[in-house]
Amino acid sequence: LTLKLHRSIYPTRAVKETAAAFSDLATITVERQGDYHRVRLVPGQDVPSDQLLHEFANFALSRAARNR
Amino acid sequence: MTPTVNAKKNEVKWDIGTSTYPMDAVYGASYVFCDRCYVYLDKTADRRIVIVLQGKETLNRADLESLAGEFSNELLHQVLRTRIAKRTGKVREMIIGRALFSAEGATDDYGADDYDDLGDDADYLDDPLGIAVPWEEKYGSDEGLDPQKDDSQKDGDSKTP
Repeated sequence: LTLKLHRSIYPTRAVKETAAAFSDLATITVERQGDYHRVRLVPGQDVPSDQLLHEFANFALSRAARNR
Repeated sequence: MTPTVNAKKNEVKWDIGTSTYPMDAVYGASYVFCDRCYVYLDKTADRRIVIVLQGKETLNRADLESLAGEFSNELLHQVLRTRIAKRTGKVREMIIGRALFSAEGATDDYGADDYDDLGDDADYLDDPLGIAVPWEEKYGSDEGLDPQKDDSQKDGDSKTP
């Protein structure tokens, strides 16, 4: 699963905090790709992949909003 | 831009200009909607913000349109909130500063240290200033009942023989 988050909207700190929060649910790698954070998620057992992706994006956005 | 509903993907998508809606307002509105739906934001090359809202449960076309409308209303609400917060920021700072300054003064005048002199033996029944002494005991039973009369006699203004 891959998610692209724009760096000007989702700051690095917010993405890192989200990755830390979701580390029990998936194996996560974050890399920089131009204007985006490219997040790769390998869900753990019994974790619904589609929901995981959306929840990750929601969590990152709420973190970005709170840290602003 | 008018929201585009994609019922198959269970999502609604549109873009807005950052000159009308500052980023703080977009964050604020997104935060409010995070528990109701999945919110995904992106930025176009011409610096416009793309908003994608996806239902957590399956929604029909009308529901998705309504969701987009409510989000737009919340955006406006957040814009107004941000503007008011900016405009009244200095006044709020002044009020808080003044309140804290006053509170500091009050602590100096009536701090807990003032009660240290009473010691541990202090009792609520103690009356060092004689406040609890009955009137009759202090001024006598008959003559001392009118303190004004008493004062005028002292000054020699009395017209009674």
